[in-house]
Amino acid sequence: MTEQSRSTAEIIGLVSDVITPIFTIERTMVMPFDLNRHENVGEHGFALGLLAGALAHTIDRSLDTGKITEYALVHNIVQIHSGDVTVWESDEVIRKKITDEMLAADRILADYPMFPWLIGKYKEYELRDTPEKRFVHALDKLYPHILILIEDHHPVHPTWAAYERTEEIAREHVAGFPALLPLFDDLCLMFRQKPHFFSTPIPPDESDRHSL
Amino acid sequence: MIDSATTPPAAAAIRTVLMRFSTTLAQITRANELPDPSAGFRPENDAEHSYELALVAIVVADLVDPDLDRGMVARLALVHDLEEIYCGDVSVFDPASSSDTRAAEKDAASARVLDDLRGLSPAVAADFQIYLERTCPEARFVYALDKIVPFFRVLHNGRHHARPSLEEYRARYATARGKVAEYPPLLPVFEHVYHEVGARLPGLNSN
Repeated sequence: MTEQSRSTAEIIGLVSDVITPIFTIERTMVMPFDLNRHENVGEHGFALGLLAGALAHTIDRSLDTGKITEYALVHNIVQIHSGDVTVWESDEVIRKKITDEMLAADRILADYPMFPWLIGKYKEYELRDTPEKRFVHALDKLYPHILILIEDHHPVHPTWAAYERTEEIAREHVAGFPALLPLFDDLCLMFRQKPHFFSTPIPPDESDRHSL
Repeated sequence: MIDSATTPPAAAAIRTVLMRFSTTLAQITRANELPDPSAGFRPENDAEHSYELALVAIVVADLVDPDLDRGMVARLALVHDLEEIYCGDVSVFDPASSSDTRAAEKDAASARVLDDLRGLSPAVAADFQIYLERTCPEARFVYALDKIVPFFRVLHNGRHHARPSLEEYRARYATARGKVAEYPPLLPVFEHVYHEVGARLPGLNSN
């Protein structure tokens, strides 16, 4: 086998074993044009990358949009082995997710050591030690709120109590990039005006709130 | 629905990017296919294609030229087909794809996208302009690789979505090669996959 054909075979292997599976993993979020069609992880990576690149300099002109785009592309790549674990899962499942994702990352790197960028960039992202990484992570956590409001439809239809818990968790993540918190709070206030999102009533003291 | 009259500017901008660009591109289907667990194969959409191109572009950049700016490669790959929100996607095996009418449609659509983006995100507008004009090696690299990635997909799928005859397949060689030649270091990759697909075409057409 020539060097060219070996490289080509390796790239086809990457397309086969890493990229293609990404399009088969369905998320909880649904598409605005078809509420019966779930977004897949690849579509989400594209949307987050485009969104993060578009929004970054409106929030902070010092952000590096190239790095932001790279992080958005790889941020869920390990899900080809670990699956998509949503915030609606049990605490036990969510705790296991961290271990599963680390193992998935090691597996991808072991299978494709010739493409170190893939998992190298993922592991870099997971450190959350730069503004760009924290920006992408925060935007990823408020993205569902935006999509649900656009669709005027909550695909999970949670109880108010269950939603409050996930809102708290999301807020902790968004707080990693504080400049996005006012936006997140505004989105949460909008949620409080949408009783049809929830399977139980919104408490009056919540729907009457003007700030969080 | 987010009401833009009462919505914070950032939320309104996000809504526009998601609605006008990313979800619209997720509705535009291509002739190329993705494996589907329930249906065998299904059409790939533009959002999926752009995501795949971005990932492949970064890993191939490492192999071909480590000096390419990966961040810029990623950004350009994500915006490279934005004009298709207005003009759709046309397969290279469709005779209309090389017509003057199609070229004019794409130009008009691109101008419209630039108008949309300038008010929304000057950064993304600038990226899209760079890609259209191919004013840097990263843009020429992404443009060329965009013509090669479908060959990887055909070889992975084990079937050719367009079922071209050998004559139809060969008729497109010069045009495809001419586009890849905008980034010469990718020519050996193109030649390799082009000839491999050609050699396997009867089998790829029967699957």
